[in-house]
Amino acid sequence: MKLKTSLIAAATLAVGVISSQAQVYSQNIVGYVNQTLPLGFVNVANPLDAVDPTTGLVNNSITNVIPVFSGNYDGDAIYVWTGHTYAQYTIDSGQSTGVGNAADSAAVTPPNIAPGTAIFIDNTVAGLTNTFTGTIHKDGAGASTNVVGTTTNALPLGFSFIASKLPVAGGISSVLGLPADGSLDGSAIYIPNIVSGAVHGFTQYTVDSGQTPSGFGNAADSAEVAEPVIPVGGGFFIDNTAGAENWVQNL
Amino acid sequence: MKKNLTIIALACLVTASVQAQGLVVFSSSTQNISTNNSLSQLGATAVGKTLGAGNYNYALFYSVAATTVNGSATASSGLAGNYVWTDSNWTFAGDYAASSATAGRFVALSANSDGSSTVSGLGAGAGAQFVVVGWNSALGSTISALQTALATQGTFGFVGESAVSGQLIAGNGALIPNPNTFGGTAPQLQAFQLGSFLVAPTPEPGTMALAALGGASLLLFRRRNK
Repeated sequence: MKLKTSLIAAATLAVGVISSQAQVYSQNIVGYVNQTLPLGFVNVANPLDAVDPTTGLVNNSITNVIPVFSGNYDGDAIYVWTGHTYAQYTIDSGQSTGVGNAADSAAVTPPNIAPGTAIFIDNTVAGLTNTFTGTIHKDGAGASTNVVGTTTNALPLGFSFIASKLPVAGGISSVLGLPADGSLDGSAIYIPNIVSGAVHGFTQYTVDSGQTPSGFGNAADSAEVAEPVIPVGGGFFIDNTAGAENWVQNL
Repeated sequence: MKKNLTIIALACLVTASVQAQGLVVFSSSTQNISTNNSLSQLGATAVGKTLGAGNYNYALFYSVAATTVNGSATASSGLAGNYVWTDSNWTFAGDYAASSATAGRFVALSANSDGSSTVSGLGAGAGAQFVVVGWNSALGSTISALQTALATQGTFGFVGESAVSGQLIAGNGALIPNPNTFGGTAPQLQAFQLGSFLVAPTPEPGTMALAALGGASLLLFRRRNK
């Protein structure tokens, strides 16, 4: 996938608040990520908590993640996984909310695209680059001074379209920290095969801690394969057949 | 046990993908359909974006192999249009749409709950090219009614056909997303125009014979008077 991502090299430690009572660091790391959107389907994950320009608070409505009212994205379709299919939306600056339903026949409440959630965008506008701006997401404080915080992505049974909650790229387990301790064994990972802007199925992996050294097997789990590598701002499907699990990441 | 469950789940997923009918979203979204009125018979019918909910009908066709309609991939309109039903490589998807209250737009008449339309005969995950034919609803609500109207003397109205889309992969209501048929760039369909037409009345043979008889009578009458 043509995905150019530039993560601000020196993320600004904008606010460093130290609670004297809890002795826990609470630092908001501010930054931006540029993601080019080629024509057609693009696998996109919001890598940062967006900020509502009016309230200044975290608000990951797609209207804050993508400038829908600019008109530059008009006609693009958004696909949000609901657990068994997609809820489909149309970006349309002519709609009162900036987002229409699948047929774009009525305005709907814009979906929320929080970090850790992957979506498809069917981009019909050439030359778009979206700049995600905001703060690095945290679900909990760091346990020590060298850990700023933690994120937790729930992995329920069944299919989820998910992404790293942190803006990092790399091996799905070795870098992104998807549990490789056997707790997800038997689950399947699906990476969308996007060719010429269309989703031509998925490349499938099996999570299997017995497949050494990567911890991943092919679709039939008959041979060990290299672990999938996920770019910043990219997501993947997981079909969790092992049991509800949490994917915890430290930053 | 876990592996068995995984295999069963995967088998179900694959089976669903193979057997399920393909899904697309059949609406014009932000692409506007327009009309081109050059007929006095149509009076002051608007020129420009189509107006009025239900005033225009649309039908969706697809082909797995063909990338042209009778050798042309461009849009056409009016009575001399290059219509898709004259090319056996194309199949009616079974889907109709109608103009909505928003000028220039249309939405599917029988969409699924997720907004998609089922493409009859096209498998989920399969690729196909699409073409849309549009006409004013006074000509009828079906393709066969439109064909009849276009062959009926004295009929007038609007009709047009989109260009041929690029390949779209039909969704499956599961992991493979349902593509929009219309969008700003290829492979999706873009805005197109419905052209005005009039099927000119041609005299029937009986009428012609009567006219000839009348002419001959006039000539005879003149000779006798001379």
